[in-house]
Amino acid sequence: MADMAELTATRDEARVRPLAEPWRRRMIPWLLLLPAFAVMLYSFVLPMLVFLQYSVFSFERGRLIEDFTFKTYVKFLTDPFYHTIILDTVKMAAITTICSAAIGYPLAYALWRVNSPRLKRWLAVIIFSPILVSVVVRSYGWTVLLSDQGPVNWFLQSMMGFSEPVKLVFNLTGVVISLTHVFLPFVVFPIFSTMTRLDPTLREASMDLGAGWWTTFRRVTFPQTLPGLLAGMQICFTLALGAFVTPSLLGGGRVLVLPLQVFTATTDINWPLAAVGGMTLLVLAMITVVLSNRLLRYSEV
Amino acid sequence: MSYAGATQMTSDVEFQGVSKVFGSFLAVDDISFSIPKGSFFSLLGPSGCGKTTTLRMTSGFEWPDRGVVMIAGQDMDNVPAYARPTNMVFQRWALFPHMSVAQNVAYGLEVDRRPRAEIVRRVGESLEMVGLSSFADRKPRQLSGGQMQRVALARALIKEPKVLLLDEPLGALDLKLRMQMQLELKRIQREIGTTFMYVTHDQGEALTMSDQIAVMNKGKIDQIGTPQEIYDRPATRFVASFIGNTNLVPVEILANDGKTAKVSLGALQFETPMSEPVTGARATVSLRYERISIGKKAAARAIRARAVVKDVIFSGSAILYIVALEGADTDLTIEAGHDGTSSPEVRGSTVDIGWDSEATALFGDG
Repeated sequence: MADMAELTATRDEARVRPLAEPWRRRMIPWLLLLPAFAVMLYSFVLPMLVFLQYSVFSFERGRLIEDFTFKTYVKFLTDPFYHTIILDTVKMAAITTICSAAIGYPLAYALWRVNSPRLKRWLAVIIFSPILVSVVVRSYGWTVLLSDQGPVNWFLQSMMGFSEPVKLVFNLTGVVISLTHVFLPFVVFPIFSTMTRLDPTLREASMDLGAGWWTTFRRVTFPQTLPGLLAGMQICFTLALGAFVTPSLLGGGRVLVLPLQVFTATTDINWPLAAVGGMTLLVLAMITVVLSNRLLRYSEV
Repeated sequence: MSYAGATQMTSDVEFQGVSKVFGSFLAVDDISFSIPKGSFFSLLGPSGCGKTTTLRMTSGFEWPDRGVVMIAGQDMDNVPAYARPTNMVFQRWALFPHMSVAQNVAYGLEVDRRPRAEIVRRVGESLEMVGLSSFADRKPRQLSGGQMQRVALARALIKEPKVLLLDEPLGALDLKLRMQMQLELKRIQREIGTTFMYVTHDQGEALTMSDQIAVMNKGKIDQIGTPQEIYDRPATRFVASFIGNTNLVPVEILANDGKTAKVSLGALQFETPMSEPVTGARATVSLRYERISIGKKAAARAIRARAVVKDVIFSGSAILYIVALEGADTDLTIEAGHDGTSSPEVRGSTVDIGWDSEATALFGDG
């Protein structure tokens, strides 16, 4: 018994201590992080601080007054005009996200199920192509396609029996169509990557247990690709919140979203108003990230 | 056999001249067999021999390119996987990671739209059978390999399949657990009386559990029989070498009457039963490690020889000797039981060895 007690006593004292990792090796991850940190600090944190500073200044009779006031915030949050802008921004981003997900998910599924590697490569290039085209060129392209005399309206009128041209451009519809087009790859690829990581025998197990294609998809495949779908939708939503060129070229002045409001404010040299608009965008984006992270954690196994 | 049509219902799975091609690779080459109802049937063979393809053709994941697959007396041509009376335990179990243990097990019944109360009851019974009642709410990733294996078994058995298909389900477990699960699988199979079709490359597993074993090699079935038949009377040289440990010794045929042959191994001449018709003068004798006696015990054997001990390997329950046969350029491996008191032969010493003629089998060198 005494021997046992002695033995456990020496065990507890842990005579061997873990050897500390050499400091050179411990430094490596920090060194690798350094460039990213530097860029972030200079191009994101510092401007954000300047923004924050400007947002508490006030602007009266075309002059910037460097004081400390929440006047602009109060005005922004109580004026129905700005409410409409915020709501329109969220609405545009939400519709774009839903459309991208609705088109992107089946596309990712098809890309996953296609067997020929050649076809797969070409499909991936086609899905990726919107990003390769300049936003200005793409926007004018859509203007031509969607205009009252454009091919889409020709089709709708001559084939589908619409008596008048459908307004597809210079309104929210046009903006959503173009944004969906360009954000599609950001939705497709996260979904596709979760699909490629799926264990193919799970589908077989489901079918073996008596489930047909649809039940297998609904109960086995889809729940497991949910993290990819959510990630894609989050990227799409935050990108759409900040979209500027597309709403300004295809909105025809009727789609007034926050980035446009910020731009207008800067042209009026109303820096505080621009700064508050920018802060609102940032808060919206942060809410999106927090919400989707919550959902993501919930959806992951 | 209390029901009508019993004669055609006695086999649960029947393959008739089935072949399967992948590209230009003939994975399964014209195989036929039938599995009696309620038996434990193993497909045994090295990887790439076509055993998994055979199992997948039974489950409906692969379609035969030629031949007929019958399950419970019905032709399975055009019957998809989800409509077959078979369920499968997958190699890595393939549990649904986003569902709890109970949800995994309930899945098959939910898909069939069984009433809620029945599902709850049967899931409870199933989990009890595999001893996992207290794990019902866990997710698969919170389970050990052995527990996941049991969940996979419960999930497949809950639909009361005619045939349970098992694709190397114990391959990912460690040795001790594998032995334990072998006995448990056999117990469950005996209790519920379902036909088990088991694929494995592990001969020990197949020998322990099976009522019948089909040994497959290069897409063909070399031999079907009980474990003992296959072990004691291998039909081909491949079966002899794949199952158990055996010395394959090249010999010269002196005389041959179709049933037994007189062969010579260097200076040693002896008789051996033939497993297959052999033509030509050269052949191979299979002589199992443990069927050769060494030392004093050799005196009781019909065929005796002298040999020099080249190496002694102690492995716990047995001692392996590698000996050089005198008068022939041949090494033999001998496995002698060890009961804790026997004293091994010494390396370099000359010993008596011997075996009986029925311990050997003769295969042609073709």
